[in-house]
Amino acid sequence: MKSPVKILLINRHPPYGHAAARDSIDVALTGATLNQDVQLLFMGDGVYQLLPQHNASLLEQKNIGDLLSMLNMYGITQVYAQKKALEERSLSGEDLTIATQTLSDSDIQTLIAQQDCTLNF
Amino acid sequence: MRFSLVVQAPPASRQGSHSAYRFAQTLLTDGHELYRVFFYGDGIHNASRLYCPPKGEPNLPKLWQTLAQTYQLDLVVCIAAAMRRGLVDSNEAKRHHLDADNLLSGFQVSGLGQLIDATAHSDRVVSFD
Repeated sequence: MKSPVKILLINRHPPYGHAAARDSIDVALTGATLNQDVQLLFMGDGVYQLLPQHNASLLEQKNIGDLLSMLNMYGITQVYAQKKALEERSLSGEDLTIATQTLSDSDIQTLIAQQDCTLNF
Repeated sequence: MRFSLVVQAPPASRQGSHSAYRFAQTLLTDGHELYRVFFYGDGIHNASRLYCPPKGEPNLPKLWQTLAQTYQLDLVVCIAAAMRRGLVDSNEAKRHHLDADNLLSGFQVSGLGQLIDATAHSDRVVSFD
């Protein structure tokens, strides 16, 4: 295995209403456990996953916010959010729970070009 | 070039599953290597033995099965994604006391480790959502 593989998980779905957010976290945890270099990018509605105080118990679903804040214990520290998506939703980097770098769309192109693999959720 | 594919689209509902199949077929006839096809999320439905499309529509599970036989492909279905969607192999059916199983032969259930392994061993990973 060439190691570590740079894997970018691009998240475009909000935290609830679609399995994508949970599916992405499962891949992130597996990749981190297997010592790969997993990074997360949140674009479009995906930035909603980064807001604090999810009340997932109302939906009988796992709390995505809690799961995301656990990821840095697994060595996943590079978390990015699309600047334009935040602005469109009247959010800023300060509203977000986990330490996130905000990126312009051209920074995102650079980030993607640096990866070995990107997966979409 | 060595490829792996990640399929998250179910057959019938979205084009992605058929596109994945056609992409796989083309890369193989062009002489590239297909290391693994990993079915995740709703993509697991491509492994159903009970899939019955109407006449004139592609039978994607059977198409994948045939392609896998021809080229000795590794078709892997994420076991967690499959179980929660009612796609069950015979071992899991016994374990959970279910009265039936429905995994099409030619596919195997496994974990996300196989997806990560594919990313480490492939020149390109292409997703179909």
